[in-house]
Amino acid sequence: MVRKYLALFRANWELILEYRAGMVIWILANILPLVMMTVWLSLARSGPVGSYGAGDFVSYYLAILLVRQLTTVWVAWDLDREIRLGELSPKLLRPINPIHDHIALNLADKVFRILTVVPLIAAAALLVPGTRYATEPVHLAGFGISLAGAWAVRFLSQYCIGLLSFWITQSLALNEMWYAGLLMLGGVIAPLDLFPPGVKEWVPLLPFRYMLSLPVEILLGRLGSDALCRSLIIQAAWVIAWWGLYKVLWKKGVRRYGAVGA
Amino acid sequence: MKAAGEYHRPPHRGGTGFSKSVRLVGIFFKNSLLVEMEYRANFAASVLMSVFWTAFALLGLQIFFHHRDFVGGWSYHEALLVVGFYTLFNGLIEAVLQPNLVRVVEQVRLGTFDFVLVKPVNSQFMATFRNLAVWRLADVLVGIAVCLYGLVGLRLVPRAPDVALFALFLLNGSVILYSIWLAMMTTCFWFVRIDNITELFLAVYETGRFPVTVYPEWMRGLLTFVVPVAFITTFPAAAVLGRAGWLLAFVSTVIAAVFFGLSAWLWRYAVRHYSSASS
Repeated sequence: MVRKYLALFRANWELILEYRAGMVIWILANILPLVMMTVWLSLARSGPVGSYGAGDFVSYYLAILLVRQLTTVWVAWDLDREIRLGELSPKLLRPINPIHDHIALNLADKVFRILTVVPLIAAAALLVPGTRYATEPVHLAGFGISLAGAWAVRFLSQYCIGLLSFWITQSLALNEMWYAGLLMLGGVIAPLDLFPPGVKEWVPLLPFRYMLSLPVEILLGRLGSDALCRSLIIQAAWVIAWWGLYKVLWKKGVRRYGAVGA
Repeated sequence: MKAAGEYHRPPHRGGTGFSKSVRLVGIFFKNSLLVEMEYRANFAASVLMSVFWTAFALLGLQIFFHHRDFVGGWSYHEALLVVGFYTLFNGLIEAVLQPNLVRVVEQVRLGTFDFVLVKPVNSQFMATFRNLAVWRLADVLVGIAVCLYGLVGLRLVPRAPDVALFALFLLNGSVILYSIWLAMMTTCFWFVRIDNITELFLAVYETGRFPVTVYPEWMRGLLTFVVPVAFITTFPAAAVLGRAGWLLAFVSTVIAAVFFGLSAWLWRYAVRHYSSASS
C-alpha cells in the first residue's frame, strides 16, 4: 500500500507543479478571512469584543489562513466531472480504489503549499506584533491531531457530496452550500465564541467547527484539557460518520453507474 | 480572414440604435428563458443558493451587531441595505456578466467569435448581453427583498430627491460593474484562460458585503477609486438614507464614464486586432 501511494503521489506531484501558476492566484483569491479580520479589528478599536482584543483577532485569522491552506479540498468538482463525462470508467478497472488517487493528489497539493505559502503565513503569525499562540506540548499535539481530523472531515464530506453526482446533476450546487456553511459556521466570518446566544449552543454539534475552527481554537490555547478531549472525540465521530456514508454511497453509486452502461 | 474592424462598423449613434437595442435585449431574454425552462430544477437550486448566501451575510451582520450598536457608523438596518445591494449586483454578475464572459472566452478560443462580428449589431453589445442565466436573477429579487426589509426596519420612506440620487448611483454602479467586467472579458483576446482574473475581482467584490467605512483608511481608498466596489454597494445605500450628496454623485458619474470609456475603447482595440483562430 505504501509503495502504491508513493507511485500515486509522484504522478500527482507532477500534476500539481504543472498548475502552479494558477494555484498562486487561487491562494491570493482566498482573502475573505483577511477581510473579516479587518472588519473585526475596526470593531476592536473601541475595546475588546467578547474575549477577543485586536491581537487575538490577528492571531485567530492568521491561524485560520494557515489551517485553510492545509485543509483545502476540491474533490467534489473532480468527482462530478469524472462521473458525468465517464472518466471514472477506466479508473474502475485499476486494482486500486479511486479514492486513493484523489487522496494522493490532495496530499501532493499540501506538500506544495507547505513548501511555498505555509512558511509565509507562519512567519507572519510569528512576526506580527501582538500575536499569541499556545506552545505547550499538549496544545501542539492537539493542534496536529485536530488538523489531520479537519482535513479528513472536509475531504470525506466533500467526497460524499461529489458521489451524489451518480444520482443528481446539482451536486456542485450542494457543495457550494456546504462551503457557505463552512464559512458561516466554521469560524471564518467570526470566531465561534462571539456568536450570539441561541446560535452558540448548537454550532459545536455541527460538522463545520471540526473542519476549520477547532485546530485554530486549540492553537490559540482557548480550550482546557477537558474541552479539548471532548472536541477531539466529536471530531473523530464525524470522521467515522462520513467514512461510513462514503462506503455506502460508493457501493450503491458504482452499481448504478455500471447499470447505465457507461 | 481580414481584420474584422474593416468591414464591421458598429452603429454607435443614431436614433434607431437605442430602441433596437432594447428590442434585442428582449429577444435575448426570451431566448435564454426558453432554453432555461428545460432545466427548471436549476431554478429551485438558484433560489435556495440565493437564500443561503443571504443568510450568510445576515448572520455575519447579526454577530457584529450583537457586540456593537454601530459598525462603521451604520446601524443594523442601514447595513442591511448594503447587503441588499451586494446581493442584487451579485445577481446581475451571475445572470448577465458571467455567462456572457464564459461564452465569449470560448468563442475566441474556438474561432467562432467571427459569427458575433458579422452580425449587424454592435459587437460589444452582442458579446455582453447575448446570454442570460435567467434563474440567477433570483439574487436580484432576494437583494430587493433585503433592502425593503431594511427600510421597513428603519421605518423610512425615502424622500423624492434621495430616490433620484439613488437611481443615479444605481445606474453608475451598474455601469462601473459592467465596465470592469468588459475589461476583464477583453483580456481573453490575449490570454487563453482568464478565470483567474475574474476570481480575483470576485474576491475583492466580497468586501462589498459591508459598508466601506468598516475598513481601514487605506482599504477605503482602494475600494473607492481603484476597484470602486464602494460605488456599487455602499453609496447607493447611503443615497437611499439621504447621506450621499450631489458631489459624491458627480464623482460617481465621472468614475462610471471613465471606466466605461476606457473599457469600450479597450474592447474596440482588441476586436480590431483580432484575427480569427481559423485564419
